[in-house]
Amino acid sequence: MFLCLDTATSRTTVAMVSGAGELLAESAVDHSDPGEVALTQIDSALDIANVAKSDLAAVVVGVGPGPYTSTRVGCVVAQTIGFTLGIPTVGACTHDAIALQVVDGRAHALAHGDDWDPHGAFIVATDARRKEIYWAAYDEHGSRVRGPEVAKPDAVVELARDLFGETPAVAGDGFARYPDFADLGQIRLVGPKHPSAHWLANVIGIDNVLTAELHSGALVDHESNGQDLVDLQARAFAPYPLYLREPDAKPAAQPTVEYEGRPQQ
Amino acid sequence: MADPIVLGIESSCDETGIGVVQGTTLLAHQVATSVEEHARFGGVVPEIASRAHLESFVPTLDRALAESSLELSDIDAVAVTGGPGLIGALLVGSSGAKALAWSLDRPIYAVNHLVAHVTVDELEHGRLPEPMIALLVSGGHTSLMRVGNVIDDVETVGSTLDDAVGEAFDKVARLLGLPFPGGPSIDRAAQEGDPEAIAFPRALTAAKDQSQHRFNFSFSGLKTAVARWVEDRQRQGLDLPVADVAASFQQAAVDVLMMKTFDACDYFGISDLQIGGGVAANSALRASVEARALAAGVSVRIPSPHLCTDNGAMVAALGSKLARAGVPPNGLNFAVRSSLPTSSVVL
Repeated sequence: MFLCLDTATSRTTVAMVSGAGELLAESAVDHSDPGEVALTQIDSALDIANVAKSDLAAVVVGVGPGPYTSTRVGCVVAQTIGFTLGIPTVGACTHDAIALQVVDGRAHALAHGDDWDPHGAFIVATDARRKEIYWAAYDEHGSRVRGPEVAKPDAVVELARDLFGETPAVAGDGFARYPDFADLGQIRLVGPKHPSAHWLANVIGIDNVLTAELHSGALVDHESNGQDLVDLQARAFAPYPLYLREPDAKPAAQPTVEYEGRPQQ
Repeated sequence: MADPIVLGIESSCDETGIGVVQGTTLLAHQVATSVEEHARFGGVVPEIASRAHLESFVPTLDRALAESSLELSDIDAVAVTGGPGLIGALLVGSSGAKALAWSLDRPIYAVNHLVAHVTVDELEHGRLPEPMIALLVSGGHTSLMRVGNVIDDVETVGSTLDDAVGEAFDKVARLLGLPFPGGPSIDRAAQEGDPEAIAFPRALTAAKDQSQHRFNFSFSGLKTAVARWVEDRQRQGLDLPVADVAASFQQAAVDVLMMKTFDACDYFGISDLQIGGGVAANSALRASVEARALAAGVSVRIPSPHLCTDNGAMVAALGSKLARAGVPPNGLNFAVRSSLPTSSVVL
């Protein structure tokens, strides 16, 4: 039995998934502070699934990229439950989960005559605040072919167009603040806006959750100019946020004058 | 019945502290600090602190359990700092604490950081005197409190209007080219200096301030006065007497703290004083408080330095008191608060 949790978007989503991949309970709450809602949701999910804490085999957590404060909440909750119950904690990229939802949703979308190319590649974009977007590109099977990265919306559109050679299809809520791109036909909005937690387990593969090798998350490397910070093959991550930006802080200016009598440090 | 075993978690600034307390007995006291990561920035960077909390949370919890020789199932209640503090930092500790309490099916108390600082002394020096005046001096806080009892009668009678005193130490240390954190650096440099060499201002101590700001503090002007003095000296092409500046600044800060603290003891007719927070380790402050206490007939208690700085044991100590007093715990959905008055001992 796997407990799945994602707090890397404005939606806190929790799911219980059986070892056979069956979805037993799922909830989603839109709240600015996942710390206030996550444990109540987790408690309800176990209740609904009629599962005891001792039945849990692993915790799977979305590691973003997403706003760091809320993504950290999910990570510390998952790590602490894992530690306390003595079970593994595994991270999965939130964008990878949305990508699987996109692929899964195709048949459904086609049946409803939605404007969606069933064979096409697409990007997943989520809000990175500061007028930027976290995004990753996926092939038609939902395999990540680039990213995740962080960039301004117009740069994301341009990069995705270069990658796909056509108007990019976009899932996720990344462009919600920038409706002009969709209105002017520069992108096509498709697929879900938010992750559903149970897809995190599918990203890793239900059979692999307990044995997956955990890749370390991204730390900004200026040399790489923000590209390929995250291993494209990586599906299971250590349960820490994918930090794609460095903390906002400038080293303190040191005094320009060498003072007399400065004590030895 | 044996007193409950309470695990306390502190994450309001740059220290991840986890302590375990039974009654007033300290069973574990583990602190991971990110202070060195902040040094090159000259102050605490919230995002760096929050990242470090997540990195340290489970390892510190693990170390605290090992130190206490307890199993997780031995923990009877969890206490965590609910505020005041840096919101992103508070959220790491509180969310981890909630997950711990949920996993163990135990109650959780979200407590006031400042009141926890006051309570910690009970672990070292026994039952807290009631009532008492408490002075909390650190990089984030400068508060003067009248404490009837720490469970439900803590009144902040004065606090800083701008910078915390420890923040002023950090900023002046930076001006003088001394390393972060500024408290110990200034204290060291001041040993060689003359505290009366430069007459820096003692803010809010004039007669005209007594009606509105009798017990309030202001350290921003003091820091600016030091900056001006340093600039002036540089303009004149003169050497900077670092030790004298450090000693004079430190004396000005300590004078104001002590004047107002002993004035509060006098005003409220209270003869027990407790001092906590990182700045309580300052040697000038300790010398001054001893002399004044003797003259005023006030008994002073100061916890050891490792309990004065932010730590989880103080949170556990307050949680322990609340649990023993039968105060109802919080649920799992409380919201941490970056500002939290001392009138709220529990969220």
